[in-house]
Parts: sequence; structure tokens; C-alpha cells
Amino acid sequence: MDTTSDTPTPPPPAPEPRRLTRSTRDRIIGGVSSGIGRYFGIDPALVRIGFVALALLGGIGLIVYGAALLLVPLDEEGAAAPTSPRDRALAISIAIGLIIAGLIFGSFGFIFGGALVPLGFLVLVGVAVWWLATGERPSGSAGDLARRAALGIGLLLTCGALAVASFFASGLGGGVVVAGIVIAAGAALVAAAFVGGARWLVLPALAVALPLAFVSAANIDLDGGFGERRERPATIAELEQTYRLGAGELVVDLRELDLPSGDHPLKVRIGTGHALVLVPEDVCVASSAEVGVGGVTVFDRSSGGIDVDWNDGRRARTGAARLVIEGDVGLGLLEVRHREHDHDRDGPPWQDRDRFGRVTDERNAACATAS
Amino acid sequence: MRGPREIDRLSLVAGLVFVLFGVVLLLDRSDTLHLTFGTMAPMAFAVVGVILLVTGLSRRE
Repeated sequence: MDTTSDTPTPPPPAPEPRRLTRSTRDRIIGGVSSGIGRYFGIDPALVRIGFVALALLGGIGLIVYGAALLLVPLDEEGAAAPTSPRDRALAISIAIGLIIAGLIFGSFGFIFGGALVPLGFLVLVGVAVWWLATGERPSGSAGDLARRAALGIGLLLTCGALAVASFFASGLGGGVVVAGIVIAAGAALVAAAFVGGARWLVLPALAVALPLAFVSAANIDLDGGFGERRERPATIAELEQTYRLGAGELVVDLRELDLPSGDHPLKVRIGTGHALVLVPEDVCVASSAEVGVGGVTVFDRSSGGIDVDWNDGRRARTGAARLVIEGDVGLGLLEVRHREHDHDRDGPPWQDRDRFGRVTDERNAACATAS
Repeated sequence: MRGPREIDRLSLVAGLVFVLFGVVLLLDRSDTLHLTFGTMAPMAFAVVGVILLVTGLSRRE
């Protein structure tokens, strides 16, 4: 006798159709690669490599990733908190804004190669800066990512502007004021620590303090003007004791000057840039210089690096004139030469070269011996 | 979560570091000190390092 029940067993439920979703668990940015890997049953790392390769080869990977970020939904865990229409509208607006910015910064005729790669880097830099500044990981909805990228870029631009302003203000003699601002920012941070903190102030304070530290270390003095300046005194009366330039190129051409025997002091000060002193071949040059970052070249001798303390004391031959040069360079190069040339590196290999690789055959020949 | 009266350690330490660094820079700019890269670079790295360290520690908490 058949004892089995006549109750029909319910048919197994039909398998749900596979859905392409973004992973909320295994993700680096938006979970797109992980979702695609899960959908096709391949390692997400391979998908990520593919996206990076496509991003570098013309930027198409960035478009595909951005589109997937906007169109592919999060998986069930992430879907518990769906993106609000307002967030999505904000994300799309910011994405459009970034694309327009990328087109402006890139070239109009080279959209996929010229604009999207810089745009992609801009977005990545923005997200990374925001991550470093706030600790918010680069994950979440498209709206969150776009918002973080925009805030990160804004923070970067603000800090960049502060850093440039701090550099120029410090170099133009306002270092005491800028140092006071750093102290005030520090005091404000200390005070704010007792009422919840003001962590947003750390990066701007750093953006002000570090350029001031650089200016202080290199002793950069931007007072004296900017640009190209060329001085060519024809008589000893026209020869000034000090030539200075804030930033740019300063050329002091003394080759037409008939210097009588004896010592002739000459101070050359440049904040950032290149100072070139051209002297007649019958004049001995004794030189000393302080260089924050850069180098000094006096005919066939040179030195370079940071905190360069140059001293090349020479005595003139009997009856010859001696030019005693005192250089002060913040960031740049001080050169003393007979001829305005030597800026090519293509001379014969047996010819003498300075430490910067330039051909030189000049000598401080009017001096007696090195002291 | 920090309580309403709890001190924000990152702001406190970063603030003190900025005050000290600012005083050193002020002394240099007013010609009381003469700092070079040899002394300034380690100091600047130390400032950044301390801030990063405290940032990391406060996030871990």
C-alpha cells in the first residue's frame, strides 16, 4: 500500500534573474568593478586593471566607470539606504560641472584624450585630498563621491591660494605678520579643542606655515622687483654697490667698464631666479655668496645644493683690479662669467664643464693665487 | 563619539605645534634666529609628522 501523501510538493522557486549591482562590501571607490566581477564570475582585480588601462588609453574607462556609478544600483545591503533624488541630482550636476571644467582645462578638439584624463585625475585628487583631510573613505553613492571630489578640489585650491599668498607675503617682507597668523591659527586650534575642535583649520594653517618656513630657510627676499633686469654701467660713477632683484633674471654687465686697480665691492641680491655678472677678462674676481637653494658658478668653479656657503677669496695680480662680489641668492643661480654664452651642453667631450653640465673654458686669470 | 566636554586631541596638539612653529618662524623673521634648510627642514617635517601621527591616533579611537 502506498503510504505517501497525495499532497503535491510545491515547485522550487524560480531562480531570481541575476542583477548587475554595485558591491557595498568589496569596493575601493564605488563597487563597480566588484559588481561586474561578481556578475560575470571573474576576479574583480582584473576588472579594476581593465578600468585603469581604459582610463589611461584615452579616458574611456573613466566614462564607463562614471556611467556605471550613476546607473548601476547598489546591492541589497547598500540599497537599504537608497540615494535620494536630491543627492542624485547633485551628483549629476557636479559631474556635468567637472566635465565642463575638464573640457575648459583640456582641449576642445581632443575630448576623450585631452580632457577626460586630466578630469579623471582631478576627481581622484579631489577625493584623495578630502579623504586625507577628513578621514572619509572614498566610498559611498555617486553623490557622495562627487561631493567629496568637489570639496577636496575646493580645499586644495584654497590651500594653494593660501600657500602662494603666504610665499609672496613672506618674501616681500611680511614674514613677521605671516608668522603671527600661524601663531594665531595655532592658538585658535588650542582654544577650539575645548569646545569640539576645529580640525578644518589644520590644513589652511599648514598651507600658510610651510611656505613661510621655506622662505625663512632659503632667506628669500622678493623685494627689488620682478622680471628681467639688465644693468650696464659704462663708467665707475655709474657702478652701484648693490644690485637687487626680487624674482627673475638680473644681468650686471661690467665688460665695458674700465676698472682701476684696487678693490671694487659689488653686492648682488636676488630672491628667486638667475643673476649673471659679466666681468672683463683683466679683472680678478673674489667672491662669496649665500644660497638657500641653487648654486654658484664663478668661471670654472661652481657649487650647488641647499644652504650653499660659497667663498672664493682671491688676490689680484699687481696692478690689476679686483672685483669683490658678495652674493645673496634665495632660490636660484649666481653666475660670474666673462662671456654671455655657455648655455649649451653640446661642446666637445674633452672641454671643461661646470657642475651643471655646461661647457666652460673661462678662468679667473687676472688673480694671483687662491688664498 | 566625543562627549560635549571632551577635548579634541588633534586640535589641541596641532594648535600647540603651530604656536611653537610660528614662534620659531617669528624669531627667524625678526632676525633673532638665523635658520637654514639644515635646521628648518627637520622642523617642518616634524610638524607635519606630529599632525599626521595625532590624526591617525585620533581616527583609530
